[in-house]
Parts: sequence; structure tokens; C-alpha cells
Amino acid sequence: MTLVVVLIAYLFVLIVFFLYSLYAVHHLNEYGYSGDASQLALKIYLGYSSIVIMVSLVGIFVGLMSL
Amino acid sequence: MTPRNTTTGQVAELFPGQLEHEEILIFIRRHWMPFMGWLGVTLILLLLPVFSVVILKGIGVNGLVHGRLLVFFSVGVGTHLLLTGAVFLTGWVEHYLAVSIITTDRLVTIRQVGLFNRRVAELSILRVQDVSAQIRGYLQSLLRYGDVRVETAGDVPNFIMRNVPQPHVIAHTILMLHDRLAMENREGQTGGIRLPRKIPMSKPPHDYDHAHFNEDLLTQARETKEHLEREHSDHSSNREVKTESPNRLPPRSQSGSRGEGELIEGKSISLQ
Repeated sequence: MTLVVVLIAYLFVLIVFFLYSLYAVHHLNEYGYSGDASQLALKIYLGYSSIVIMVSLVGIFVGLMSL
Repeated sequence: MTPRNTTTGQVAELFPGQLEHEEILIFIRRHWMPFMGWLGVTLILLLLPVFSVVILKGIGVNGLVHGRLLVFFSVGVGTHLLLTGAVFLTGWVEHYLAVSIITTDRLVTIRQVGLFNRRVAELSILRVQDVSAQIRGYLQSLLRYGDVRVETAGDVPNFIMRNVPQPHVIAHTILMLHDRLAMENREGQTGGIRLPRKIPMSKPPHDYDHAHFNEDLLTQARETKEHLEREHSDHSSNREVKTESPNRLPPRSQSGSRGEGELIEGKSISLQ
């Protein structure tokens, strides 16, 4: 039961994070300029976030498989 | 390279409400040092999971590599690292989108707080009464950054540019521009009312010279001074405003191009 609650909470975190990132990308696209440092920061941020999400999902998967 | 807004694909505007013939002279970003605070916080947050693993190992918890503990650990660390990323991005946005702009007519300061608050303050250079540059503390003295405080006439609140590089250069430039504008006003050379620009959606609003604003502040200030001196000498020789600058809007054609209902000195308009 605790496991299910934790996984649902993590799903909620991922949804909120996705919405926040979507707004951040839109905001920087609106006020930044193509080819400048804001776009580079966005790429780094999105790359970092993708890696974190992938690794955490792999961890969850491995953990569930070994139960 | 001409900067383009990646949402609309059009040439990007630097700040809203640029006036006709108004030229952007100096573009100031905040000094990088205040951003180091955000970077430090981010680095500490990034290292926390490593410390937590070391501490857990120290107290004898060894089941992190399988089972239920691995799920909890992945969820916890994943959430923590995503929040850290969000903290860094917020700090970056606050740092990068906070700019000050000095034009031939106005001072504009854009302040970004988080993602959801953006404040644009502007002040006519003619309203400037006194300008002071303030450098406080060891770090600011060493790295030469600080605040520029512009005191204004009347009830208008003082105008402050925070954490800008070379504040004394900025203060000097503002005073120079104020003197020049006041002198022009006395000589009656302003050319009448400046109209708010209309931005056609089909073509770029102006040819914004982005490369110029990547130069350091001293170079920008020197180029501004040279540019103003050159323009002043041209002005006194043929009394004609030059408009070749890449940071100035192109002039409207003089004959019959003004639209119906536009504000023109000496002409009455009907308000329906």
C-alpha cells in the first residue's frame, strides 16, 4: 500500500514538473532570443531533467522487479 | 546574428514601447557574481544525495540496491534532483532576464522575480536630477559592480539599477545624456513629439544589433560617447537627424504616409 502511494505521489511530482518546465520553456522563448545563452541553459536543463527521470524510472523498475 | 523570438519567429523586441527615433545606447546585464549564490545552493543540493548514501551506509543500511528500499530511494532522489533543477532554472531566469537599458530618451529596468513576476520600470532622462554609483563591500570593490541610484524630480520614486557592472561608468553616461537632452531642449532641436511606435506584424520592428550588446560595458560607453559626439557635429552642420544606426527605428516617410487619426503636432483629430 505504501509503495502504491509513493509511486502515485511521484507521478504527481512528474506531472507538476512537466507543467513547470513547459511554462519555463515558453517564458524563455518569449523573452529570450534564439542562439543566446538562455537557449543553451534550456538545453542543459532539459537534458539534465531527462537523465534524472530516466535513471529514477530505471531504479523504480529494478526495485519492483526484485520484490 | 539577428536575434529572433523562437515562439513567433520574428525579430525579437528588446523592450516594449520603444519610441520612434529612440536609440538603444547601452544594454546592461547584471553582474555574474550575485548568480554565484544560486549556483552554490544548486551545487549543495546536488551533493545532498551523495551525502545521504554515505550516511546510510555509515549507519548500516545496505539494502539500497534492490527491493522496496530501492524504489523509495529512486523516488526520493529523483524528486530531489528535479526540484534542484527547477531551483537552478529559476535562478538563471531571474539573472538572465533582469536587464537595464539606456536609450537616448529613457532608462528602462526589467526585473524578473521567479517565472511569474516581471516588472518593467522606465524613467525619462529629462527627469533625472542626480545620479550616484554605489559599490559596497569587499566583493563589489574587487569585481567592480554595484548599484546605480537615479534620483528623480517630483513624486516619481527613485530609480535603482542593482548589481550592475561598472556603476560609475553608467552613472556618468546617464548624466552625459541628461545634459545633452536638456541642451537640445533648450535649443529647440527635439523635432516635436515622439510618437509611440507601431509594430507591424509582417516585418521586423527594427534591426537590433545584438553583437554590439555583447561587448563589455566600457566599450559600449565609449562607442556611445563617440556616437553622440558624431551625431552632435552632424546635427549642428546640417540640422538633420541621422538614422543609420542599427539600434534606431527607421523614420517614417514625410509625405502623406501618416495614418488617419495619428497624433501630429498642430493637427486636430476627432475622438469617436
